Amino acid sequence: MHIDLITKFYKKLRSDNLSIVYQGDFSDGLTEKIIALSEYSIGKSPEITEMRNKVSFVIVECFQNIVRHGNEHGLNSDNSVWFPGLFSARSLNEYTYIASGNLIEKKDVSFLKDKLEQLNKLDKAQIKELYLDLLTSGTLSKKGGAGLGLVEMARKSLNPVEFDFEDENEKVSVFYLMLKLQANRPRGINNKEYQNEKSVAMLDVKDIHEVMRKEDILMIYKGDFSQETIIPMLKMIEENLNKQQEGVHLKKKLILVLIEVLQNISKHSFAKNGKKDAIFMIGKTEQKYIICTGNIVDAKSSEKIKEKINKVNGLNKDELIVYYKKSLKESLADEYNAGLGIIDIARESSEKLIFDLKPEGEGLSFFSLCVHI
Amino acid sequence: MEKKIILEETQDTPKIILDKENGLFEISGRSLPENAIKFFAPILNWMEDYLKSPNQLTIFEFKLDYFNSASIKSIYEIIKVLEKISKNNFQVNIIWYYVNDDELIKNRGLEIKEMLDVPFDLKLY
Repeated sequence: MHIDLITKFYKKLRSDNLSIVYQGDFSDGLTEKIIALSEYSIGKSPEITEMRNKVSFVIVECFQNIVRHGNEHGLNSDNSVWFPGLFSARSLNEYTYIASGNLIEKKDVSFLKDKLEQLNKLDKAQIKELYLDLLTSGTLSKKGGAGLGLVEMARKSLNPVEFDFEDENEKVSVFYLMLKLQANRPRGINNKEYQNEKSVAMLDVKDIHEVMRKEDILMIYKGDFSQETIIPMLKMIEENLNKQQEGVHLKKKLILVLIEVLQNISKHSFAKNGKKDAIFMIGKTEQKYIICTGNIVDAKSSEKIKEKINKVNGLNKDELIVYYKKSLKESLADEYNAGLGIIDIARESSEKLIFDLKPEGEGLSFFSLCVHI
Repeated sequence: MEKKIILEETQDTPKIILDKENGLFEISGRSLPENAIKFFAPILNWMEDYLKSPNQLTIFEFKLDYFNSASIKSIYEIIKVLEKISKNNFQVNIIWYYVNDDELIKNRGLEIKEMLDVPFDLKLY
């Protein structure tokens, strides 16, 4: 993964209040954490309770969709995963886009496509009718495909269900599904006006997914960084590491570096309009994990960062321990304690730290950092 | 002095027991507060008080899963107070626990042991 990728994604997702894109293992614990992250970003005021509940509901349905339909096709004969499911949640202006990507057998594509097209032709009352029908008569397909879950999502969304199929190999296709939710209930929305064009949001999901697959990225998070978002994110990654059965030592190193880079953003990022908007990515190649962050810093921090990273990059592992001990002895006066954190990161990194500072105008810079573990 | 401090573990702060009467001293779990200095300030105050009239024997246990760099500074300060108690001829024993294969927690403990002159045991649990 090249460090420029973080800049590229940041630019692409710049206007998002929140973006979470994840490909990997889908456990129940994960659903809970993603809901915590999205709830935090949507906000807690009572007037948007309805929106929040809808988003949580659609997230749960999307996850179940991936778990129910994606798993068996994405496995190799030795049970290793060659196609992890995709989940994406983006919040942009008053809209929240929830999307999933999973494999389905090619023979099921036309059936599913028909069902979705039919669903999109229905108006609100008809969807409700269909929903009640399904509730009493059971599901449409043996696995519940295009069944109750989809209809219920369409009811919550009040927008057409967007979908797409992408050929993967001779047996399976990737099924992309996207729901658009909005904070203010739209007036006079007419599902019949739905045009069969792919929205920019859908093209983005597919585009990001392609890069993530190529670069082995497990997760991208862009949004506000505060302790309230850092803790669920840490837990998400920790659960994933447990699932991967990584050794204790590697796990500890990863979590330690994660804590330091994420809290660094929270503490040192320049806040625009009261928000510390930043991006974080974690990727895995066969041997190594790579953690990348990107955030806006002011001119003063920019100089400090350059000086501190160049300093730790100039030291070998033994010298880093000496430097660590020296910093530990220094007084507690340095409230934000940036010195020790960066030494910690450098100590656990298997390579020199890679960083970049790109001018952003108004004396600000975009600081990106990649750590290999 | 303040009687005792007992804090339950939260998702980003450790469990803390400072109980002079029953001779229990423990910090365990994960310590990831954003503002560690603020979190540990009452703990350090308690320790400074305890330094004035410590028990004959203080067994202080650290059983940490994770800590951020901000917390380790405060933990170091706590152990420095224990060093002073030990130098005042009271018996002190620090036990730093780590799980199997956890080289990180083990090494961070070992480094503090090397930096200070106080009885300090590393123990697998």
